[in-house]
Amino acid sequence: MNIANRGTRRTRNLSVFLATVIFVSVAAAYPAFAQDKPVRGGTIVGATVLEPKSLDPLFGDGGNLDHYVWRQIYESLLEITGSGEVGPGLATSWKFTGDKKSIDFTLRQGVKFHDGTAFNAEAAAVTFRRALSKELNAPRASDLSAITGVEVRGPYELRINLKAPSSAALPAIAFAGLIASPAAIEKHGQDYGRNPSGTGPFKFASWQSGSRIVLERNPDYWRNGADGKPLPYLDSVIIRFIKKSAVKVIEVKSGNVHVIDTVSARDLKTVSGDANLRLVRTGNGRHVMFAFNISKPPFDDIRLRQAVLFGLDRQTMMKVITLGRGQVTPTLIPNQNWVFDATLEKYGHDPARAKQLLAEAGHKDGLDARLDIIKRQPDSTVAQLMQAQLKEAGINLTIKTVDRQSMQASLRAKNHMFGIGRFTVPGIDPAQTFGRIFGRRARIQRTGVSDNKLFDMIDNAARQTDQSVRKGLYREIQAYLVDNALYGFLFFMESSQVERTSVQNLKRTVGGAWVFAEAWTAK
Amino acid sequence: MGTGAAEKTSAPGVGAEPRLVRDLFQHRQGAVGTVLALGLVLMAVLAPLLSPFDPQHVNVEKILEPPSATHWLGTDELGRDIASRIIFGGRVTLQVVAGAVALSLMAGAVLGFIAAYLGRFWDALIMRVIDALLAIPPLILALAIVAALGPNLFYTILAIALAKLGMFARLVRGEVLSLKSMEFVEAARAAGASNTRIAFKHIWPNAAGNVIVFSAVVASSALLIESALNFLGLGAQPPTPSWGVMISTGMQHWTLWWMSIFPGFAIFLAILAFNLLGDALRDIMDRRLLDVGRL
Repeated sequence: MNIANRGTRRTRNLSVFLATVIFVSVAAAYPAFAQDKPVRGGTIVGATVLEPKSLDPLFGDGGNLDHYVWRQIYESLLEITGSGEVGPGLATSWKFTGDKKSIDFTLRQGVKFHDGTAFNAEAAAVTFRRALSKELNAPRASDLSAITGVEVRGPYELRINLKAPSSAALPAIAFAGLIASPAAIEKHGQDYGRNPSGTGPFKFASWQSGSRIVLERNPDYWRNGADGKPLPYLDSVIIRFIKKSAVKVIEVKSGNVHVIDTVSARDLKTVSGDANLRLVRTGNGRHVMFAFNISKPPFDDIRLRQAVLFGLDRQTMMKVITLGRGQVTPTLIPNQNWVFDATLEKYGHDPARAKQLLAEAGHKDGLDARLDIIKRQPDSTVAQLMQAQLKEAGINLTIKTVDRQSMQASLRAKNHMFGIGRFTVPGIDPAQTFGRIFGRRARIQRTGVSDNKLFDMIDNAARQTDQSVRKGLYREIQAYLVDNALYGFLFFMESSQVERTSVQNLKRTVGGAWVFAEAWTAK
Repeated sequence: MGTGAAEKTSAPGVGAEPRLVRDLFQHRQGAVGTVLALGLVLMAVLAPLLSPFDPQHVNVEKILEPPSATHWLGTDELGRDIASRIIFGGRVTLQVVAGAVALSLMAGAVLGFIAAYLGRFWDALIMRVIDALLAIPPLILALAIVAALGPNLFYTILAIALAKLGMFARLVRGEVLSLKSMEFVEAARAAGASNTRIAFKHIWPNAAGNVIVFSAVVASSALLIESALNFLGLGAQPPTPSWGVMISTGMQHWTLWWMSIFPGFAIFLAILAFNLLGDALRDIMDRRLLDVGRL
């Protein structure tokens, strides 16, 4: 199918030729570009939508957006890799104690904070003590709510105690446990949020409110680059705050800014034609889905639910709506995540099968159903596409548009037949993702039924600490969702960022925030 | 409007007489308005014949295409033909506008008539309720009604009718009040005519002219409300084509100008038609009343 690209073969060949010519001449002029070897020096300017309220990581209010700045200054004991697994950070190793209610960390030696003081277990403990402090009552402490205490067991030995065995504790520590210098906190007191000091690759230099934060290279950073010398490669990083997507796009096009955070889909078209710009998929985004109300007819009958699922052509839907920037996945887990499993897919597009299931369920002449949607995009387009696709399978869809509150009320009162929604995925850990959406404490039981079997599976998986056991359990949970046809997992819309082609090796967190430690710029 | 009422007679009021059509076409703006409005009505009635494609036919191979020889006004986010959707959208819009104007005219006229004719208590009661209704901006009122009842074509008609009926009631009441004390009404009463006879034979025909003129003006604002409700997703439900919905969808793709510009232009033309028609009708009525005065 040829949707976005309507160019003829000839123009495509021509552009390939031109691109080659440009590439070769650029490569000749700048050997570094061709050799793909990091260059030292230079500045990268990033633009993100939200200015942090504070550079004290316990006092942010921007959630993941604060990390665009924080992640340059601070590090955690652990790091989360692109697939969502946990790896070493300021801790070199860690293990759960026998009862799984504590984690013992061995910390990295020879690391210094930006203020010159040494990083050790005592310093690391301060961050967790602050998070636990009732007196301080830090707004982001809730991210570390799984923790009950911290013990210093040696100069580089730290034990963190948990409320209950929990696999989600490690990702939580990695995400929210950004280690700040106790000496700097002591020295600056209330003003620490504007005088931060961490162990990260960049030191805080200046902050122009409403405009930018300037960060300078930390010459004492502990990690080495590919050239055997200490990271980072860049001399400085400037983070600017620009609210409007269109303005960010103009700035990155003109070269004033080298990388920008999430861009709205409508602005992406202007980017795709620019040879100086690169679209980057961050791996996170939104999964568009619908939930069946299985508490009453017609969708209390699994055959009818399956008929709907077989009637949908999700691949086409994804292409039409995300213009190709998406994925069709068996459940809400995107394919880069460690609990993703392609073999779970059961419902390919099969209108004949759908009709057969309808007939078996006593709806030989077709099924009339009502789909509730919230007035927003892409929901309305998705609904109309579903309507067109299901018509061929003998299902006549009526679409009812409501506002968000009415939708929630309708879901609570179980008045819906099925309704479109979306989930921001992936969470920092599958325990969080599944618990929040399908678990016992989910805000809304979208299927209209409190499914204790599912709740137990989710709770059990969250208690496990062995990665391979967890992987198996999350596969079972996903298989349960698929087999019982409780949801229609339609497609995943990836968030896209834009960077100039001069930006090299810029890493991102699971949430899409930048990590400039290993980035360099090909000038 | 309605000057020179003092000279009114019980002569037949305005109807669909040939003279009105002639007058309309002699009035330059009236001619333009009439042609536009007639065109709109014809487009709506003949929609299935005129539209090149099925307005609801989804074609995922041709999404978001700019205007071309096949798709004169381009295609939308589901590959549907925008020209066809505008033509069919006019149908829905006109249904709502006609329904809303008719309903509010009837209800408003009856209320205004009762208030003015019965006077005293009924007048006070009805008009205070109408005042309260008119105190709320029409769009807000319609929005509240539709939000409460749920999005549905009939509710949209009802909501717009309710939002607009106050103006008809006031107009009719004013007309009736001034006509009620006319000599010809006194004469009819002296001749022993019943209340109903006086109301329908003597007063209504004289009030009707202004009411009809006013309908054209109300039609244009009803159309605006209808488009606004649709724009907000509270009117026609997808996939029913609707101008307001098309504009709001088009805004999601604002770099693709054809998606919102054309439905926007359709709304502009429709409102222009009603406004020109309304103005022309008013001019014609005023002139006639003056003519009557000169006799």
